[in-house]
Amino acid sequence: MMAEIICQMCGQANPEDQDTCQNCDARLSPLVASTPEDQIPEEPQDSPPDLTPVEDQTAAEDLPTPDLEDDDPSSWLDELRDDDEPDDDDLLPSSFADAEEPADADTDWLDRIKKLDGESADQEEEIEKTGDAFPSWMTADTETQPASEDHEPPDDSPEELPEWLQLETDELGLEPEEDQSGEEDADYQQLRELLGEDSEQEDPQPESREIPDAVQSGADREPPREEPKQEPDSEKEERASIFPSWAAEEKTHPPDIGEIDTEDIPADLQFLTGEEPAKEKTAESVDPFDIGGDDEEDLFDDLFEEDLPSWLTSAVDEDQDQDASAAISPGDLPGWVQAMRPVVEETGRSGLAEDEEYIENYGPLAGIASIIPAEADIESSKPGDATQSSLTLSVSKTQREYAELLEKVIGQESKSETVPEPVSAPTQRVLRWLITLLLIVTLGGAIIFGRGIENQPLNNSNQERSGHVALYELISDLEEEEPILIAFDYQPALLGELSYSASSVIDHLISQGVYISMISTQPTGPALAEYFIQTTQVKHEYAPGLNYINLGYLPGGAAGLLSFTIEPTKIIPLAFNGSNAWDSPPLAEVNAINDFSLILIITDDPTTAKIWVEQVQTSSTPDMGMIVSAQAEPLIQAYYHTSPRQISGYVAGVLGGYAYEQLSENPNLANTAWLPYNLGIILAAAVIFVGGLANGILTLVKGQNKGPRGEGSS
Amino acid sequence: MKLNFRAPLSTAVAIGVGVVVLAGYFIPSLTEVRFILLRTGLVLAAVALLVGIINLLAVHFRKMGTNQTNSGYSLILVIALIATLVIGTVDMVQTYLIGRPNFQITNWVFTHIHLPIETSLMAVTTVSLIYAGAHILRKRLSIFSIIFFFVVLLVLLSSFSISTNYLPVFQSLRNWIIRIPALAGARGLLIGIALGSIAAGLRILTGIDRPYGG
Repeated sequence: MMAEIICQMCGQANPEDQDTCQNCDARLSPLVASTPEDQIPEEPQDSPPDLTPVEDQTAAEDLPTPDLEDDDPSSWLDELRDDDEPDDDDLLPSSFADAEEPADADTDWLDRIKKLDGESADQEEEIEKTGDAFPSWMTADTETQPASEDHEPPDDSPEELPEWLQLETDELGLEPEEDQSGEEDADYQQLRELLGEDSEQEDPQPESREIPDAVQSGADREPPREEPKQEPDSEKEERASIFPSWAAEEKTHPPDIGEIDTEDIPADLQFLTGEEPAKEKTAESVDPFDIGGDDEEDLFDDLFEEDLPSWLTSAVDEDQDQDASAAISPGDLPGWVQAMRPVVEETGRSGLAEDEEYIENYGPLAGIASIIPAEADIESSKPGDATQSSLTLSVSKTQREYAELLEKVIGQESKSETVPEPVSAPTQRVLRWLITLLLIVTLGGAIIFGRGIENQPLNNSNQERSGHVALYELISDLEEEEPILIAFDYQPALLGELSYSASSVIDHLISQGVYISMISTQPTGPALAEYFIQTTQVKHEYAPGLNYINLGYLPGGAAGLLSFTIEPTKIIPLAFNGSNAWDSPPLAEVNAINDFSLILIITDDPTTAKIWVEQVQTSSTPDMGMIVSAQAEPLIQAYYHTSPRQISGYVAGVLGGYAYEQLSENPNLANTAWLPYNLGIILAAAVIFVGGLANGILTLVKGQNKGPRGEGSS
Repeated sequence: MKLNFRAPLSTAVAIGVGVVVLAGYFIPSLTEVRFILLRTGLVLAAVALLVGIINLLAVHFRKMGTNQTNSGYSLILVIALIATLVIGTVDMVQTYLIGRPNFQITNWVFTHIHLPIETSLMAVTTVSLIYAGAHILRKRLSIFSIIFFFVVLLVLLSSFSISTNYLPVFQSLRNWIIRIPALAGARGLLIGIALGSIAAGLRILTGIDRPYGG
């Protein structure tokens, strides 16, 4: 009996001498294996390799087969060849591609079918589930031949398989049968020779063999064919640990092929079942190189944009997208997506591979790489490890140095420094006592023994512009029994200066025979006024209530002063002695502030003088004069040197009082105190000058010895 | 819900009184209202002085009870305050009820105790100021301290009769210093005080500043 070769494509038996199938013109044997030395030796047919499971065979019988008699099965393959897609041979090395060209003529259409519809999920899923390179509907024609009585059993022995299939199977790392190992090594050796590599360098382990890129790409396209074989339990467990759970489950429980119906067949291959694919699901083909417009600039602008180009987005059929999204339910991944899950080749016990890249084996993240492994952390942090760790702190040399430095800094902070007492304190106390004794002796001697000394008159070169001259002229213009108001707004401490300054002015007023009314915004003012009248104007024998009246204290500061200016009779109805002030002779004709002929303020405070000017001085108020301390003179001048004058005249300090006495030719207290006053000024100026000069020189010398010093340093 | 009426009420009273007093300067019909408010404020100021005295007495009473270092001074202050108050009350009764005029006992206390103490303190201050003037260049040797030092000397030396008669240059310098730089400084100070007073018044009138609390 002449041997027959079963066509792998159509399943028809062909004579052995035929190179191509009589039905489909498919090449029965590749050109590579056509040489006599490469002929595969015949194997006994009693041990044909079972490439597909039995379930696949039975399922394949149920599949509808195309009518091979009426239609040429190779015609649709020829149409596929006319496609514009680049040939896979272009990806292969030139030598290998040339050698495989006859085989490609028969096998390339399988790849093209798989690539035609990338969404043929069922086909991919079936390939993965069965572990076969061919879908069940493809293997049904060939594998079911032995089951039928009309046909002879198929000869799927390795020697009758095309060599190109065997080579590819070997290169994919599948474990061959033990009795075929020698033949497989020969095939592998042949492939290595074709690739120009040294066979001695090959790795005996199939997993570690270096697969050429072209072959590897083929392996990617076709999942490796796995043959069922009996494995020990330990090996099964190891395999289960290697593969993800979902993959291992599929391996241990292969799907029932009998459940596959015509819907599992891809749409592009539905014609094989005799049904016409739904036209509405066919996507509209768009030529990607068709610009579709005259403006090329728009095209290039689209190319350089971050988003998809317009011509690419316009090619998307919205109806198709909607149908696809509706068909895919969330959580139920299509088969082709599940097929894309990477199969873990090998993982360690802890889940970490040699390159420390971890791929999850279990759970919803199965098959995803670079995930933080939980098992490794759990193993490394066992409860017993915490008790076993040492409590001794390991400190490096640098850390010890830093710790010592910190300890030194903290230790310096806690130390208390003894501050030496200033050695100049006794000297300062002596200096103060020296100054005190000098002033007491000098001024006391001048007061006691200086009464007979005639005072030097002042230089009267600028008298016309002086305040005391203006005040003297103002008082001189007053007539007898004219009411005047005198405010005693100074502190008792300044009595020495102001009484000597005001005595001649008040004496001048009393000499004019005016009525004097006294008031004060200071609590001690009424007593000071009484003391002043009783001590300085005794000679005039002015009687309270008759020649003068003390209105007492005016509270409220500026507000009280303003109130007194508006309604003096209501603000202070009673005098300091309890009598009715406004019925007394000095105030008999006074009902308002404007009824006074002169307002004279005696004060040592510039602020008090300012309040009096601001609250009392108006265009209708009488003239205002002031007797102020020498320290208030600069501020008072601002109200005097104006036009019109807010202050008609003023006397400032002992010097002003002495000038007023000279002007009135009536020597008074200022004249008696003039010599001690001058001596005191000279002494004070001398002490300040000598002491300041000495201290300045000492400071300069110390500064030179100690280097530059700050401005505020002492 | 607890409502605090204190703050809005005090603010409304302060702003209202301020507006009325300010308007009294420009509207003659409001002068009488303005005067009533000012007189009320005057009485309140006198009462505030009395409240201040009571507070001072209470503070020093507490200091005496704690046996602090300077509690002896507090005892002297309390005794003096009570004695002066008694003397003033007796003097007031004699003045207003009996007809003995001019608070003679009070004047005696003031003349023989209060006045000498204060003038003595001023004399001590004079000695301290002279010492400080001599020490100024030791504490702080700078251009401003040197200028201050020589200006003090110049004003002192031009303040007695010998310098004005035999050294008229000192008199001229003194007059120039007082009338030009000192006067300019005084005017600037017064203008600053006026502007500050206006700003403070406006802030109180608008309720931004509430020194009365609330």
